[in-house]
Amino acid sequence: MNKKILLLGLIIIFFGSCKNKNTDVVRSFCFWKTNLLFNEKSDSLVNNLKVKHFYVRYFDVDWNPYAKEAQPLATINYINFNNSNVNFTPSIFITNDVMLKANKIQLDSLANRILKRVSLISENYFEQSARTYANKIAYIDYEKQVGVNKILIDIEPIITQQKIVLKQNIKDILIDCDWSENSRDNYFYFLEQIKSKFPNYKVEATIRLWQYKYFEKSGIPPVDSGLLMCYNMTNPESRKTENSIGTNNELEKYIVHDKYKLKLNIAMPLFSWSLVFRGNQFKGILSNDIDIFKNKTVFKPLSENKFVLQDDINVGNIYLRNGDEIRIEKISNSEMKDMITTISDKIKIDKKTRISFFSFDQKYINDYGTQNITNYFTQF
Amino acid sequence: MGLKTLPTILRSFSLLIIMVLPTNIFSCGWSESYETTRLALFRASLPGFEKLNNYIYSNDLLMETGKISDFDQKKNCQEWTTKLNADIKIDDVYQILYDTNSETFQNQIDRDSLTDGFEKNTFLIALKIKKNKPFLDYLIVAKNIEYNQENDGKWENWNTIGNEYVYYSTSKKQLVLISIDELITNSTDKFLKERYAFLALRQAFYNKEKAKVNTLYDAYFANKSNSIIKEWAKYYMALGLENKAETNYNLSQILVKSHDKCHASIRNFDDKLENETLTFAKNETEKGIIKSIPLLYNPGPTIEKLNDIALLIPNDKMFAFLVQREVNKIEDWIFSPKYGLNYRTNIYIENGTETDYEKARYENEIKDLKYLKDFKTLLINAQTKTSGEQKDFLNAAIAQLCFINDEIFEGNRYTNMISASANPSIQLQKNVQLSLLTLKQDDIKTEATQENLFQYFNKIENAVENDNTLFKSMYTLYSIASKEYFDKKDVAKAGLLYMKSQTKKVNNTSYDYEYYDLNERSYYDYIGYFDRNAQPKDIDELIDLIKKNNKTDFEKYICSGNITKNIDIYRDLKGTIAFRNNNLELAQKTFSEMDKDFWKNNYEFQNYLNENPFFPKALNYSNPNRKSDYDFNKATFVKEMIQLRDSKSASNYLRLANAYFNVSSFGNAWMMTSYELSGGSYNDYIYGDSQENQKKYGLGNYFNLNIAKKYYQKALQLSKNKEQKAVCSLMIFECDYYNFSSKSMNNYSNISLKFSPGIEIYNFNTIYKDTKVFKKFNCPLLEQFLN
Repeated sequence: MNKKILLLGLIIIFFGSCKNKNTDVVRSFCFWKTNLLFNEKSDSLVNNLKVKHFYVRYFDVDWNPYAKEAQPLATINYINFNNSNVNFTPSIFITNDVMLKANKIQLDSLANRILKRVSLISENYFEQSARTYANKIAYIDYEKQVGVNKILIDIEPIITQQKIVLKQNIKDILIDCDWSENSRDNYFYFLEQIKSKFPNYKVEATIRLWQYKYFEKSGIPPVDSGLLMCYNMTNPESRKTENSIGTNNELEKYIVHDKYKLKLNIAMPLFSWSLVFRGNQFKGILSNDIDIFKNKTVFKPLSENKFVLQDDINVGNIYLRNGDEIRIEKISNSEMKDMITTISDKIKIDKKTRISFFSFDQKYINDYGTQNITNYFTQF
Repeated sequence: MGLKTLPTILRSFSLLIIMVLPTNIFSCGWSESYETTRLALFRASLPGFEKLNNYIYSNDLLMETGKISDFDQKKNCQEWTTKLNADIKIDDVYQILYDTNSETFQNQIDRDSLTDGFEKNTFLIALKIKKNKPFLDYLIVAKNIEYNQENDGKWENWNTIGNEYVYYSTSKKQLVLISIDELITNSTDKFLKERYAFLALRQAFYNKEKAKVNTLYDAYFANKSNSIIKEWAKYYMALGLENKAETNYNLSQILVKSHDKCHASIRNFDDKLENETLTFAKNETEKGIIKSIPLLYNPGPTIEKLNDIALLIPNDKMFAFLVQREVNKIEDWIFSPKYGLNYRTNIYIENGTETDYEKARYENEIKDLKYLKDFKTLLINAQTKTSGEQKDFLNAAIAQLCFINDEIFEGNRYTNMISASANPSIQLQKNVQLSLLTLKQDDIKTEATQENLFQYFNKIENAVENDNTLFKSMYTLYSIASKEYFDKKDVAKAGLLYMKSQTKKVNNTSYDYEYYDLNERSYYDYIGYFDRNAQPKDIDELIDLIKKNNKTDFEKYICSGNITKNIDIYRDLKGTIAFRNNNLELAQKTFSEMDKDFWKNNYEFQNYLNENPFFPKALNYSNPNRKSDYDFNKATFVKEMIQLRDSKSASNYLRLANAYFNVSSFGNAWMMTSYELSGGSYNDYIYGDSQENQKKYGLGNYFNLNIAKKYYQKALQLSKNKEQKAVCSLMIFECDYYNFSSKSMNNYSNISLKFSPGIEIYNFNTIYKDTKVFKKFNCPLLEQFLN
């Protein structure tokens, strides 16, 4: 090992361990599904984890080759935070294809359309949420009344008032696009349009790790803040990859400077998956919640996170074969802590910094454990 | 290198973690789906297969097909021409119904005269005749609905959200529905009544008005219509039925008659209800179709069910399609591990247990060959019950199975049984099989055989021009041909054929690769295969072939698009391979034949060969004079290495050892030895894993520094100079430590390796503590290795 790295490591450990960790951060999660329907369990997780903020994917935008223009897809159907009172950031994922293929006029139009659609979805949410809230108050009030002349109060003023309250929960929007060198000019132009059309909102853009490291090449987007995505660091389709979701070793290769001139929020991974290989050939992804790994006569454990198949078996539309290797990927506790140290060593973290885990899914939250997740937040 | 070498960053922030995601998941440009790398040759087909294109096993991507059947649409156009006027061209009807958006259509209708290429459209001209006004009115309504829907599968409308995006805002929806109902009633023409009824029925389906769907279907379609529209209406009716087995049954009938609704019918078929569905079947054909549907998406062996289906519907195209799928599966299971570069792997140790993928692969091959024989027996039995094209098809399939199993004689026999009147796809398959026969049986080094191969390739290429779904066949055939040439030790032709196969790997007419254009070769693309598989003599043969003036047609063909006239690119590779082999003389001779400025103007040499290669990179931490402006010439560098090696003095050995340190993966001149620092890049996808090869570079020196260490030891032994001895001791320690780091990085076991330094680091810290070298290069961290 290079002695310099070793020395640096020791310095980091020494100073890292001495660092005061009292800085509280804005605890956040990403929500990327098409139905945001919170229940009491979700509320309880939000409370226990002291989550104050969500990035909520509103819709995706991709290039429709038939219409030759960008079009929305996979729009969120419902937003209902139940009793959780949180701020959230509407988030729009735009494929790089759009930025490569659209001209300036189309990008102007796209910014307008996004503005309109975000407003439409938000207004819909305000209306539905405020109405649910008002109905609940009216119902409680009605139930409290006695006698035969019960009166249902007028809910419209409550709705109006609640909408004003809810609007305060949205202060910015997030644009998520993995832009490339070729699309950078278009993308940055588009972001400027978005900024000018959203004067009342702050605009945030996702930053991939390579865009952070090679900022001189990739540029820094003209927005108010960035959301640095600290996961999916290496190629999951390579058999040699240790953990494609992330390792501190990999992260250290990207977080090599502190020269990024944009306020950064941080997105961290909170998910797992299983990858199948035949020889060195990637064969697909299996969800982790399937019970098939319990069958030890078919899935022979090789190590903590690896199995080799002893027989042929159909799983979904993949035909797994004798000899296939399965690698389960998840970030361990110690790895997560090392990653947090690496990030907080180079990137300024303050009480306004959002630390957002991807994603808000009970399965993964339970898998990682609320206490561990709380520790992650406090470690920043 | 540019973007290609940027690390993989997943493309989308969103991560759909679903049960199984077999396709090209989320990653940017340079990964490949396992379906892309599947090898399959059998693409014989029968008319009608087009509707099942989504279920071809060897598609580039599941559910991705280059050819979508428009059978239903053409039938609808035919119905329109029959209705209005036999002189109307079907293509003109097609243009208006399916290739003209509603805005353009409306614009043309609103004009007094037709413009913009519609001037001669016989359908539009006919629609503008007064007596045809009711038909024009219908199309205006239909196009208006289409305009408001903008519902193209996944795409949504910018202006609406939620469930309503599929159709209209509530108020508008009601208005349109009322007007369509009135139009059905008011229309006196059965042709128009049916079509208005279909529009209303589809609307009612999306509005979840099941009763209305059934009423409309019974009134206008059931037992009353022969139109293709009936099948479309039946589809919506079937989906609304309460009894889901009955839904299944109806769907199984729709997919037989309709191409347009075939895929949707299969997707909506609930295979858990197969037995209940079979109770609705009225005959063996219906039973056969119902039993076939789940097999259309089964990725594993299905021979038992195919046996049943062969008894029920041996002459049905559905059976033939399933045969194609099964042959493709067998090809994938047997060919892909055999010819796909990324399937080759080494035996590795995990957790103290030997995990032998090669052993599993061998076991699988035995199992697959047995399965192949069983399946062949099934086909031979079924073939006796068939006739016409179905027989030709099955003969082609049996022949293919024979060739997979190297049963050349029997394969040839079945190929010869294919009749001369067989359809072009079966004839094409025959050519594929003849080329396989040539590759397996003939001496592929002779010009006559190569001429035959060229003729077969040419015929297949011509067919690909008309049907780009055949790319997979070309990819597979060239991969096999490449392997055959490699086995015959003709690496030059093997490499060029391999490069050909890569251009056919993806049906690139339907993909848009930002990062990699398959037809645009970079520097490394010319040498990638040879970098991994060739020796110097192979490069000589390649250069001879490139320079050959009177190339045969076969040679011209394999060279086209695959070679560069810049011969120095190949010379550099030859010299680099010689250098890897530690054959310094050959390396020096080869490099000296090249343009002396080559390394300034090509590839990434100037970015990576720009430091003094005689100062070890490991000591850069105490080198304030580090510069990146070294005038690097490989020939000069190797010449000096030879002189140093032959001079046998301590100083020279030390300088030589430094050079060997730097040409390792840890040095500042690693590009002397390798074109990429380490494996795992995009190029490994294309040309196969390089890491195992890299371990052998420089007889191991590239990763384990054995040669560098040997010369440091020699220098230490010969030297009388304490300063020299100190630096030798330090560098021997560095060599040991880097070697240990390499091993640790490649350590797959859970047992952590322990580093045990030699005596040299102790000597460095004691005997040589008073040297200038110690003072300059000492580091507190080194002390930890003293115990």
